[in-house]
Amino acid sequence: MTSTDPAATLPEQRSYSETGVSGGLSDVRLAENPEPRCACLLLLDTSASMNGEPIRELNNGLLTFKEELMSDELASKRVEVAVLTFGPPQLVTDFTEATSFQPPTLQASGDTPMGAAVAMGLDRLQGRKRTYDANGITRFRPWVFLITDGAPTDLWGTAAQLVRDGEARGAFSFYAVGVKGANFGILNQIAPPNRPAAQLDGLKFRELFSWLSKSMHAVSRSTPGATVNLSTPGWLTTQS
Amino acid sequence: MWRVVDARAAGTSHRGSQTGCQDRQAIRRVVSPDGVTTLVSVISDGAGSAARADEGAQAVVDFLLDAATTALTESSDLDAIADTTIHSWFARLRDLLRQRSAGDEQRIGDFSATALLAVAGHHQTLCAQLGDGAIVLRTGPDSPFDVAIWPQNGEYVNETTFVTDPGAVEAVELYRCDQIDDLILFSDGLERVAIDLQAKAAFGEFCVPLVRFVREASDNEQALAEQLQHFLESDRINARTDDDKSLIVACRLP
Repeated sequence: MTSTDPAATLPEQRSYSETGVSGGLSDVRLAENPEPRCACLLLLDTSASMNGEPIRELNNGLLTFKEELMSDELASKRVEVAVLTFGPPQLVTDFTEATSFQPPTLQASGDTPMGAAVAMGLDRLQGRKRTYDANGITRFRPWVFLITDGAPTDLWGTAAQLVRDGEARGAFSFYAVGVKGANFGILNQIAPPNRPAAQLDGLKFRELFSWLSKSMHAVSRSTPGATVNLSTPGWLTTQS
Repeated sequence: MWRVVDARAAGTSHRGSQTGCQDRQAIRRVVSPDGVTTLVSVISDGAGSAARADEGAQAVVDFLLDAATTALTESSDLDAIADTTIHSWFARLRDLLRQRSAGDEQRIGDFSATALLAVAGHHQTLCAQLGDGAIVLRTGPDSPFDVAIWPQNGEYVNETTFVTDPGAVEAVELYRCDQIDDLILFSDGLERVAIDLQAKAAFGEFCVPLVRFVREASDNEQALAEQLQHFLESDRINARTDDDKSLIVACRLP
């Protein structure tokens, strides 16, 4: 049943107009497609209670994040960072490729409108997704990273619902991190049930952002069916 | 008659690890009772971290080649192969892999692999696809290359469907057209260089010279396959993908 073609099945003669000087496979050109993107949205508490050492370490953490994203060629091209601080809710850095991300120097002041910040951030993330889609840019699942040392001073029920809905749809992976003093009772109602809030050990913001950067390295090169191995977070508190 | 050249190469991400290339590709020329020869081409991409992905990919290739061969041994008429028949092949394929995992539904994922099948007959063409990678084809020298079925990624680029998934059979997509002259199959490692994602179309400057290379070469298929393999292992390809890649290029010669 297996053989070479008998002459009887030959189709009629055709001419091939592209015939020319053949350079073999060196003539094959490779399509230039935009890199797939992995959006990383940072929702950072910059309320007055973060003043002093905490905000300084948070700023150092952002510098570490940039540095370590740049140490990986693929991640530097694929990861897009946005920074939204509260309060008041303010998009300090809109989504930008890691290569052009300028870590902002944040200052602490005001209260903690976490609910509004989460809603505003997720809305912006949705907008970025539309931009990718409109430009034929493929995506990895975005990461949303919330860091706070307090409790929301605004209504946060809607935000919590948006997080749960988005997680359930697979629209993003949401991580909540509480610094000492955070209200974990409320934070765990905002965080998705399958991924409760983590507690930062002291002010290990640099370790936290180093881990986040490594996670982005892993996610931004993952292929279908491959397990994404996240490194052990060295920034978690050992007390529960 | 068809001139067919195929090759595969491990991705650079596998360098330094024990894992070899988990793509498999194969072609078969099948002669039906009426003397008509049909070309059957299959590519399967074994999933990154699945324990027995290379075995899964090999099983997909062997099974689909045999299933198509059995059908073509009856008749060269591709319309005689109903859509339901093709879906039943994928159901049997999944059963086979379940048996190999000792009936353990949890372990069937160890064989995770995609499937691209192209059956190019005398006057008809039939494609089936599950997962990513793509089949591109054209009906004649003046026609553009068409992507038969768009690569099945979910919402995210690092997700796709495998023959071992619970919903695999329903997820199989089919494409039928008239006679084609040129056919290219490739695994997802080559998607980003062979497809223009923004235009949602095959990248002609990749496909046309590739087909010309096969069509106009004076070398035999074996020599061409070696050249194609070098191309897949070249720095310019590796600069663009670190994934496994496999490629089949088939041309109907006058």
